[in-house]
Amino acid sequence: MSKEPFVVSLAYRLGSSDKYTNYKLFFHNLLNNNTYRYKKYFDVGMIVLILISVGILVYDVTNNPNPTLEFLNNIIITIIFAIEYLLRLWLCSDSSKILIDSYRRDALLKRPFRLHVAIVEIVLSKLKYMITPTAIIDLLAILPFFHALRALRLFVVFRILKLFHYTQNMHHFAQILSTKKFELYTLLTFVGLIVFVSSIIIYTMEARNPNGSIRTLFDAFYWSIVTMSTVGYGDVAPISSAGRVVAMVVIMAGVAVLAFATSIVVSAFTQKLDDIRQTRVLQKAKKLQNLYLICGYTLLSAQCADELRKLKRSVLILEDNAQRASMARIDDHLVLELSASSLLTYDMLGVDLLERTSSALLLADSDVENVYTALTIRSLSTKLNTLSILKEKRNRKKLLLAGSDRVVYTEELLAQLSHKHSTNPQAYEMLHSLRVVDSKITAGEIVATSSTVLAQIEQSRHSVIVVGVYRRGRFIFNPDRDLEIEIGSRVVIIAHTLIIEDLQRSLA
Amino acid sequence: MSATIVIFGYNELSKEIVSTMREQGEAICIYCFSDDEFQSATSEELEIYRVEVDSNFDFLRELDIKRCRFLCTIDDEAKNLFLSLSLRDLLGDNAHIIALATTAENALKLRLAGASIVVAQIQSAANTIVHLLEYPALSCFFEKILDSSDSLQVAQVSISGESKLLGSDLCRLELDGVIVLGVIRHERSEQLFVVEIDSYLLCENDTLILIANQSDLEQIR
Repeated sequence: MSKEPFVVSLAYRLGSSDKYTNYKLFFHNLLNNNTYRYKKYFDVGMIVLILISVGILVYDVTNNPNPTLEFLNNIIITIIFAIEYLLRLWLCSDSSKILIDSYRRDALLKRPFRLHVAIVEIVLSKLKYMITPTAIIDLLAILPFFHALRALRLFVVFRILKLFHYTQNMHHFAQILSTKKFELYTLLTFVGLIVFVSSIIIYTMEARNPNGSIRTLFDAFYWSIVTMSTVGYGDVAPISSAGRVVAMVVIMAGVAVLAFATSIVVSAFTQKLDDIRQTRVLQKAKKLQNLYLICGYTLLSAQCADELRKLKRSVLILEDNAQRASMARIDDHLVLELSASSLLTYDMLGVDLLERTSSALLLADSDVENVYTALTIRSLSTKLNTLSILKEKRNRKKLLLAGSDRVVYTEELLAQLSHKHSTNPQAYEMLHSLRVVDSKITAGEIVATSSTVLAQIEQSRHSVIVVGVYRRGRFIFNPDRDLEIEIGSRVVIIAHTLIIEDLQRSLA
Repeated sequence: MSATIVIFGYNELSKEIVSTMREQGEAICIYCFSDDEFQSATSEELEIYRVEVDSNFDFLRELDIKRCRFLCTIDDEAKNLFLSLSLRDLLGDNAHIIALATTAENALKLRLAGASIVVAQIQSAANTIVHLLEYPALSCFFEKILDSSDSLQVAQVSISGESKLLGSDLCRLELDGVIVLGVIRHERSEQLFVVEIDSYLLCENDTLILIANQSDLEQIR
């Protein structure tokens, strides 16, 4: 094989360079990745520059140009916008990849490398970006000659349109309207037709009337649009009877157009609102750390989510049933209307979601669904701790086989509770009160950071009952205060809530 | 002398309760409200009676109320509520009625209807799940207490007129291998935790609440 041309070697070197890749990734995240933590700061910075730029334009209208402000606007801000434009142009396509692909294609077909084809391909890919509306706006906002001529300074307003880049809501608005392209084109054609026909008719009827205000075709167009929009300034109006008949028709058409336009926008919003909400939740979910993933929203899920929220834990609910998902939203939880048993859901949430998850709670009302979800989660992560609710006792083994680390059978739990309440009602009620969140006296845990934590608790002189020490599934009841325990063990104590909090802080 | 457990309703939950209590050798009596439940319980060789939820339950008067615990476990919460009310009306204040409710709202209604203890199913399950996730040590402790086969127990000991503990200071009470959790004051039916008071002298008919292994508890008794 012949030696690679220099440009191809360069493309290979760039492609394999960590530094280059990292830079490219950094700028990609900064400009295009809405989940990137620093993007919002960049966006806010650009919005501020746009507002300063427009502010200077407004100031210049009635004041003499200030040299400092002019320098800031024409040089500094323009350079920043130009750099941003060039970065976007750089990121819009991977030139190295295009070059390498073209080289490999030619090598495979055993023909000489056609550099010009690759260059055309690269230029076309850049042009494809350059003719997009946002790129055109960006370019118009930076082209310096607009600022050189005073009349063209108005083009600074293009900078306002740049706000589309930095505000999600504007993006959503544009996306929503783009779903109704056909309806909007139809409306525009209808409006155009009415304006054209009515302008011509009114012109022919009014232009020769010496007392009329419609003298030119422009007047006719102006009147037509003002009338159709139902604004009706009244500065230009038909005076002949025939002209007034036309006006009546145009007014009625205008009302119809407005109603049609409103219905298009409203229906587009209604259809897309759920998608927008979902996207927002998705973005929020991608930022959460140590979250609890609750699969299925039932009464039990609602209670668990509330309890976890009281402990200031992040909770994300996956529920594909629209009604239940809506209930979760009403309860003010972060909810995605997606199936917990679908791999697609986890693809959407990002590959690292399960790594950021403390535990997955499979709380759907059906064992079949929970088994399916357990298997889905297990296929993605073998480490994630999963806890599943069991509805039918006979399915316990299936849930364990599917990968649930822990299975909770509520009937068994309630039977044990009922038994204890029946045999030792007062004792159990007193013990149970220790688990109630709002109790004054409660049971808590202290993680041992020292082997002599029991002696330290004793020395604190607080009124505390040390119930036991837990380590790796083993519970030592009523330990001796001199007992040296393994660091990381958990000490179960009963005390006033404030004392527990104080000990947790002081012994941490 | 152990109590007789009277269970109303025979569903999945009741079956689990019966299974737990049978292991402990408790005396059980079941009243069911449908033929299906009746047949299901008969096949398990249980002492079972078929009744209607709106019957007058006069036959319960023959029982030693103080020795009985009444468990209302009917699936239909409205019927459970009606039953709790009927039992309280019929048996008076001495009857110990335990009722199961799904939601906190129904738990409140059951309390108003006269249930002595209401086990809120959803809340208890959620509590257990959250404890399992956030407080593994506490969960382990409560699981051991709930597990009847485990030696660790929570117990109530009544202070009789002849008890050696009569007049002792609760906060300075030292019993081998036993943790004194608190006391239920007979006079006011009030719970007092050891950790919230500086001193309390035990009176007759007070109930001492202890946590200990079975063998240590037997010595105390």
